[in-house]
Amino acid sequence: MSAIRHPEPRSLEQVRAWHEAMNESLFAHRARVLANIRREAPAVESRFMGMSRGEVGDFFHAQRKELDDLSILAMMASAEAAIRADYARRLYRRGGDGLTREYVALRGRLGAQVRASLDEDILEAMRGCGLVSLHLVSRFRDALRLRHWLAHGRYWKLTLGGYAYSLEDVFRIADELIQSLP
Amino acid sequence: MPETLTQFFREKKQRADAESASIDWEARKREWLEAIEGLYGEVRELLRDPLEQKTARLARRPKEIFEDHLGRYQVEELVLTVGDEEVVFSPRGRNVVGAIGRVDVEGESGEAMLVLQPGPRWAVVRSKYPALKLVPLNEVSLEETLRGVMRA
Repeated sequence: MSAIRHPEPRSLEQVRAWHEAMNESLFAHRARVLANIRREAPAVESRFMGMSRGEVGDFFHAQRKELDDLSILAMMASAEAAIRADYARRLYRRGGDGLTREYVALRGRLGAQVRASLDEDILEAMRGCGLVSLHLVSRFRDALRLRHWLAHGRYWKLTLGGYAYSLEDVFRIADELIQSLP
Repeated sequence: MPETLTQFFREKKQRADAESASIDWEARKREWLEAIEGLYGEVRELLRDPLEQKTARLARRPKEIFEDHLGRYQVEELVLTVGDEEVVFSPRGRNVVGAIGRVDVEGESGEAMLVLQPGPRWAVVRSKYPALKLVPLNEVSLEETLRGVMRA
């Protein structure tokens, strides 16, 4: 069996739709488990054996929190893919806009063999081109800190400065940045 | 408040009332409290030798539980004392998933779960993963449970 995985980028909307579908499944599952308590149904998934209503609620709350975090990671990964695809297209087409010129200059500095860093190279080039809102780039960079924390195992304390970043927040931040690219 | 929402609430309440009316919650509570007493009697009987030899002693203390439909009610925890160590048989509730009651066994080194099965009969939840394993409460399973929750 082949182990090749071909490109299959997901749009931000696809990630959001997946998250909604999973959330609906969790709610439906919770409703079924809670109904089992009322009906004294003997058939039950073993993990729920003996759980009270409150414990079932806590269990599904934790599942939804985990789903939110993993969806945020997937959302940021999709955003990165979209930004990197845009970066590659601009280098290929060599248009005359300021962002493309910044990217071409960046490629010249890095050399063809060095992969550009999203944060330190590509987003910095966006900042420098004068065509993308600095505010949008700054917000996306801040959300990247959450992405790194999730992607690298959450082993350090992350302070997000009062911004909790729901999935919708991340969707809006990523979408506004991508849509604003010239 | 919009009439549609009022109507929605009215229909939900009617369904809930109809469902609730088909269940004798007072009887469920009474049977649950009797089952707890039955469990404590069973434990006392299974521990008769150490109790008679005074290597262990049993006592009770009150606990309050609140559950949907059953409201707030009093039960008793059973406290097994062996030397300086306690193991508490603590009722958690009548309305739980997959059983008709649950009592936790809380020791210094761990916790175990007893569930009330239709019958009624008590069983020890030996494992939940990967498959549910229940064993009937008897001298052997009680000993295993107590060894599992007490200090080595």
